[in-house]
Amino acid sequence: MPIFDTHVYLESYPIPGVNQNAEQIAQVMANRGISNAVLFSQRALQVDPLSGNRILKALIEPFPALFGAAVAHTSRIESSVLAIRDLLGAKRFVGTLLVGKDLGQPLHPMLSDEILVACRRYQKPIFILTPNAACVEVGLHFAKAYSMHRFIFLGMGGQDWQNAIAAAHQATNIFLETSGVLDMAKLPAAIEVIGAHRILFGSGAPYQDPVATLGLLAEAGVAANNMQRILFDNATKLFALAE
Amino acid sequence: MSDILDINTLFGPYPLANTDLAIDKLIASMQLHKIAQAVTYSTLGILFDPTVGNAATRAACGDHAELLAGATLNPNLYFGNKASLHSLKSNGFKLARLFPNTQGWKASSSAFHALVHDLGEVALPLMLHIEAAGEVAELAQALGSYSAPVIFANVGVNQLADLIAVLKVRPNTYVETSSLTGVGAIKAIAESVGAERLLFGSGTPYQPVMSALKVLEFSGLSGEARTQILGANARRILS
Repeated sequence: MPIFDTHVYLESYPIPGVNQNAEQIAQVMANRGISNAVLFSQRALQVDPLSGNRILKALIEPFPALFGAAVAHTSRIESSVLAIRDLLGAKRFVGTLLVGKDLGQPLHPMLSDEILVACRRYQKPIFILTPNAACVEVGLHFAKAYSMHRFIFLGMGGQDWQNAIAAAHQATNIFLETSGVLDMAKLPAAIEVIGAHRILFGSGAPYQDPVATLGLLAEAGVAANNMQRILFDNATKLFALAE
Repeated sequence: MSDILDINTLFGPYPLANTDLAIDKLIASMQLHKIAQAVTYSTLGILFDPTVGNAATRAACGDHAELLAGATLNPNLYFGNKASLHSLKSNGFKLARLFPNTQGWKASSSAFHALVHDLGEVALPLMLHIEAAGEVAELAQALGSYSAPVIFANVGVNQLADLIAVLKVRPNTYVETSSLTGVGAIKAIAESVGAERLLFGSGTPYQPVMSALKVLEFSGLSGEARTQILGANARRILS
């Protein structure tokens, strides 16, 4: 069964030789049976959206199984909008990750509006980091205010995964990505409430080994048809890769 | 039967989980994954009262020979009762677990220092649950000359450098694997201080055993090293 990991980071990991370039990431993924992955540039996330995103674009170019998401920073709106215009027209860039100054804190809606408006013409999903309930709350606000966008909640609310499921229940343009805590209860609960068609496999690699998240899916007793959707079909459909 | 010994399991009510972690779930998980033995503790011991929790743990371990008892201790509730510490060993507890963040105390706590000092006479292995940055080094420093094995639990990849530095200077320290899920983390520790310092832990039934097993399987370590980590290391330090 092909597997699409929708949440992988390029560069800036404590252990060398794991994700310093696309080749290393492709190797880690291949060793674990992961067929495709969406990469986020840590350089863009932590330092400079413009150069980080461009480096990502260049690095994934020789690896057709790897895709990218443009990182847009609410404190660097101008360069983020430039990066979006530069990259989102390309098929290999499947969406935009919207981040603020503190990755553990919720995004500020006023600072996010310009970026979300700039993304509208591309009709590609918006990724949002949701490590806690406060971030989920703002993500839900965005989902309701920008009903034309589809939002992917990376990390599925962390320990507060019940909030993420409740948000996805309220807004059908929210998708939940499976990384975050390895809690046996969260995936069965999510499938029961929102169905398997809005859940995407993602690991947060290399911070979490994809096999750890795969272990969670396997042990949570997810039915085979739902497993296929979560691991691959939902991502290719959402990112319009089959077209 | 396999030789797997899971150093980190739990049972009881747990607010982070949406259902109680019943002892039957723990036993079923062990059987499913062919885990021969597991060190376990009652969540009542960290969330409510160590005395109540330890009694529940003793009872569960009395009913299930494959379970080894882990005591929970809270420095905030320790007033120098050494006899209670000595009774832990005589009551069959294999190690004592402490949770600084959840229990609300820091490595600088005088009560923690007193507890560690008095536990030194009992020489019970300690298992410290790590949550905050810098906690590994702070706790290691606070342990002073504690000579029994000390196991760091719940350590993630962002604390790896701190952890390895401590493991290098304190030969009686170990780490359990349930949160070492970052790519290459287990191998980095094994290459720095040896595989004998790693102990398999899963966090079941709250966390999936499969995740812990798979991360170890894909760690890049030899079969011999993985076998050590899965059971032999823990048996050696608990014996």
